[in-house]
Amino acid sequence: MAKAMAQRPKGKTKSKAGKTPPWGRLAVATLLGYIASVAASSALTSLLPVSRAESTFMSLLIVGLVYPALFIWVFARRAWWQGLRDLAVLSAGSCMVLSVTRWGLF
Amino acid sequence: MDTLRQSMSWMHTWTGLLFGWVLYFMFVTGSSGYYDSEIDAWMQPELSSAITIEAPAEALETALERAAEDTPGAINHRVFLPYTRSFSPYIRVFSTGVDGDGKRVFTELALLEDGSAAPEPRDTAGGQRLYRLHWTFHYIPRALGEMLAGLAAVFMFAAIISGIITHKKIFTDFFTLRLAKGQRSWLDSHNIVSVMTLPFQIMITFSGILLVVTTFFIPIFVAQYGYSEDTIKTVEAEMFGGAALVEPVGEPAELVDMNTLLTVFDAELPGERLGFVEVRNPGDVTATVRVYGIVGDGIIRAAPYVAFAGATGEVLSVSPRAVSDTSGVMDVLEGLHEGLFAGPVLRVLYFVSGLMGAGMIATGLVLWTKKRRQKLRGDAVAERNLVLIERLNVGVVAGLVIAIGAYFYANRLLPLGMADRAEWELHTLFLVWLACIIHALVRAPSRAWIEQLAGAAGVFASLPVLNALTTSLHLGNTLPLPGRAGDMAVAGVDLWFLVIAAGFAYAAKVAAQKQAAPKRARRPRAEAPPAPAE
Repeated sequence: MAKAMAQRPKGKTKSKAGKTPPWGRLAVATLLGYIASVAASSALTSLLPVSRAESTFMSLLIVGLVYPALFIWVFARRAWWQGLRDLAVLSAGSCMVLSVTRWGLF
Repeated sequence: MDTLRQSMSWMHTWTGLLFGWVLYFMFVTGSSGYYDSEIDAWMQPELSSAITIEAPAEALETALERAAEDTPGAINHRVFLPYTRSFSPYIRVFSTGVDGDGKRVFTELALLEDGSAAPEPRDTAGGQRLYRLHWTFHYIPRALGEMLAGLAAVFMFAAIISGIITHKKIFTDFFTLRLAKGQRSWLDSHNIVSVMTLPFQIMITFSGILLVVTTFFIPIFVAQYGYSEDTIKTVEAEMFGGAALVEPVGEPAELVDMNTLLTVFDAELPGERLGFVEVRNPGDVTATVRVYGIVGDGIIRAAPYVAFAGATGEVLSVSPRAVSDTSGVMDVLEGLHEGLFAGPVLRVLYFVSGLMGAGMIATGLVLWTKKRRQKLRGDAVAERNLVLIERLNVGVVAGLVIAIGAYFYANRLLPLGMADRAEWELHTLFLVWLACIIHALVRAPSRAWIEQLAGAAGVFASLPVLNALTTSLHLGNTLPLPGRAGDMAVAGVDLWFLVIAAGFAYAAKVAAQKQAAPKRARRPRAEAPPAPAE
């Protein structure tokens, strides 16, 4: 058995990636990625010393980059639930920032 | 452990595949938009080239008088003057009125400079509705279409970035094309069209997201402004400078003369050409007049304007092309997407790059099926699904081209007096596409590819002939020759038809040769060495 393993071509590693449709990651990236990208873009620009209108324009400009970037993040993680956790944390953190800067909750 | 490159390859494959057919449709129909005015001219052969307005101020006043007669009690009139590549060769007036039930009523006039009615062209969906298919999708509500287009663009953008990360040798791929090597050839073709047009694909996809961003990412407004009944009004006022609608008071007043307003427009916005004029509350003392420049005159996709009090001519506000740095960046990206500013050479590059984007998606779809076929390992369900996708690929990819050809055929062959003629042109496109998909489902994929590629070539090659048989605006009359100006807009469309036909004829020939070529006998694999005894 050990000899058979040794005979495996070099450079070939066992990989799950590519063999099955990544439904879990796609669902997380599409749904939670949407929420997280909207929240993160808005929160980030709400911290800048510009008018609310300018801040909203900036959010609209960068959200088109943030959303695909979060897709890549979710796929770069080892397990889909790690991506889920990351995006949930990002969304929650962004909402906390917005609650201070925009919604006047605190 | 999966490497980043493996993960990105996984993502590239599936994000591309999920929206592949939608994106292919968006790229093909969207690319037609770079020649929307020329297609309009081809599809309305009764119309002349754009008329030249000798006295714009008088023409605007005459058009507004006609509009006031035609739509008494209108809330607003918008008068568009014709210019090069404008959507109409005549003066167009759009009026909004209110009927007895309080519903808004929209009317439209096409006029010559003296206020007389312009020639009535055939009812057609034209180039405008053909290219708008790439985000409206015709049979679904507009907002849903924009959401679908936005999501498809996000998937495309993610697929492009992951495709770049996946590539080990992106520069080498630019020069690599191994023909007649099966799956390897498809991979090389996919790489070469992707890498050659990579900057275009990144720009067109990101700016495409921006064009639907206010619909697709509408929660951003709630995040920034909170949720209340007044959110939309506040957003409009703060972000887009929309002047609050003023109710007419019923006190009649004449508009100041247009010459005065146009002189101020020239002084306030030097270098801007006159595009259109909007009058709100016409005939009332509260009337306002906005004089706009032309959207496509600069790389910034925005119409600058000067707003006046209609009764006094007082300047209310001046809006330059870029309102702020950020909105300016957005407008530049949107301007790059639409390419309204492009001259003839850049327009050709836009169109070809758009078609190469469609080619990138089509080769990616075929490549996926080729790779899957190698990995089947006797799985009957997987094989059945794969065959279905192979057949649908034929119907979607080659069938759409035939369907667009049929759209042009419908323009020439449907009776001119037919009710809902423009709608039926679009129905023809989708019905023929459906027929092509059904054809692909009942034929072997290798045969269906040959037949549909040849069909696409035949349809497009015959369009200039059909044009010559049904109108006088054929290549014999439209090609510019010494001593004859011709009509390059219409001739250009006919010439593009021939180029497209030649491309598909070549593709059909290659597919037929591949079908006819005897299969190379596979070399038997070397006998595996006997397993060592434990």
